[in-house]
Amino acid sequence: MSDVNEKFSDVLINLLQNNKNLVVLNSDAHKYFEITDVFRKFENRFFEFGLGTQNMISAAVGFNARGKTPLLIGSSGKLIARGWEQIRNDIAYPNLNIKLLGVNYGLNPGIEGVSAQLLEDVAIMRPIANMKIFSPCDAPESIRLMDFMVKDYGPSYMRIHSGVWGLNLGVFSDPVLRNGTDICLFTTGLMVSVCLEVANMLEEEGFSVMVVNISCIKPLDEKLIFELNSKVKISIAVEEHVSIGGLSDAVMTEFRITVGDSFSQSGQKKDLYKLFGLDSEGVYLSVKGFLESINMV
Amino acid sequence: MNLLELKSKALEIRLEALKAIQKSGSLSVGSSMSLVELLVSLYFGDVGGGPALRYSVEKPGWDGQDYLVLSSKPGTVVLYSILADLGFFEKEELNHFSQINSQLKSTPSNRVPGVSVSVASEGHGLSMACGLAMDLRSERKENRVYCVMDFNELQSGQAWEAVVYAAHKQLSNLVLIVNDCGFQTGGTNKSVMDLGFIQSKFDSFGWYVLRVSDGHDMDEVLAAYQKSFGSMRRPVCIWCHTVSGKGVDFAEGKMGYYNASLSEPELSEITVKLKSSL
Repeated sequence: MSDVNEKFSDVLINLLQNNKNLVVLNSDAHKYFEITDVFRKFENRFFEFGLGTQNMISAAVGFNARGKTPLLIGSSGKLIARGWEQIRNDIAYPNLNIKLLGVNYGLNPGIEGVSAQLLEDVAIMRPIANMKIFSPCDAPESIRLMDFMVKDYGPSYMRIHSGVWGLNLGVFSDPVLRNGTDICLFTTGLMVSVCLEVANMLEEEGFSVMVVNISCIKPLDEKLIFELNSKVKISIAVEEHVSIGGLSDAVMTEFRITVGDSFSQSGQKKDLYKLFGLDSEGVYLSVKGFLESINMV
Repeated sequence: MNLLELKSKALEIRLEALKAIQKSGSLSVGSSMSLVELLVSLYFGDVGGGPALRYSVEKPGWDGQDYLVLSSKPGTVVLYSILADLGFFEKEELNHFSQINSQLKSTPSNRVPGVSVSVASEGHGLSMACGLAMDLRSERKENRVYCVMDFNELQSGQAWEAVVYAAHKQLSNLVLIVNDCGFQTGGTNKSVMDLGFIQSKFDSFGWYVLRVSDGHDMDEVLAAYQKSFGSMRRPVCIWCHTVSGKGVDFAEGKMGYYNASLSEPELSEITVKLKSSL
């Protein structure tokens, strides 16, 4: 068990201690985050549903009908994809105060393969009315957003994975992590840390690069995006997602760096990020390639 | 209410529901009529000196109330007719059932006074009832949770996830009422997807199963509701055999009316008949 895992259960315990109406419903998230401690401490507020994910999502409605705020934990691939109808009809349509925490999205499930690597989560959650989407870039931001999500009213989805949870990029309240005038990289999740590295690499070549962390994908601060777009020559979206329906569609940039219109495959995480050009080297090369194609280099 | 009063109440509710169905153009004459007695018994019947389902018109959401999760979509119009009759809202609202901008949608909504849980999809209600029952259990409350479901909802996988969950958690405060009128859109249950003898299926999952051979005989229905109180550590399934279109003589047991509306002359005809027996 790593330190990071222990922290996750501590965060849940804190949330339960500070929010009397909160209950946690779990569908098979044990394998990604150690949460047994939570169950030991809060037997009456932690409920296990095994692989019955759809049953869990609808059951949350029952808890909510008695004034509880259910926080549902499961792997994104099951919670969000398998449970989409339950989320839409049971939770979002009546606008219930139920929270979805999808763990291990994107390429992070690695060798577990394509069914676990949900690369379409933002695309399928964005069109659901009433739904909010949070996508933090590191552990401190995840903790902040979990706290916010639980206190805020309404249905929401937050995505985290161990790659993000293992990071501490420093405390940010401003989505603009660094300023620049040539290129703006709009990004989210694990790709925020990658983009900060890429910005340094490009800066060494004389480019002035802005990096924007979009941790609230819906509702999107459209005014801010418009303002930031007007301050730079080129905007590029970078995300751990397919090319359709994700952050790139939300911010409508000229260029997008994603997994493409494609499925992933089984493999070690670092090999997968490299394969899809989502490591710092890959993102750097993609940005350079784009700049060349429009004669900016 | 005694049996005579219950029968007369069922007639009134039937009439209100038929009017609302006709006005909205809902296609549910057969399916809606099949569960009138099941819901009327729940709200108006006496079970050992008290109601099967405890509710408060003055204080909806009262701490001592029991919960109904209506998973059956065609049951919605019947439930709304009952809630209007009880005074949860004005009967006039029924004229707008399923119409644009009406609070009375085609599926139960928790924005309607007297409804605790919104259900929009077939096969989801039992899971919601499990959540309620589990939450009550975690607070050591005695309130009961009823779920009324159409037989064909058991063809969906999620229903069986909930069946396993309720048995595993020993939710004896949960009563599932299965309305089996034999039909579904597309034909008879047997021809579309035969579920077979569900009594032994539920039994093997660890449920306490009761069978009602005539779901329109409110004596028999209430006896089953009463028996459900005696379950120890097991959720209760009451398997009720009903007739599609019950009470609308020309529609009874006819597939053609299961998923249909009534014409104006048909509604007038049946209204006269039902009123004469009131």
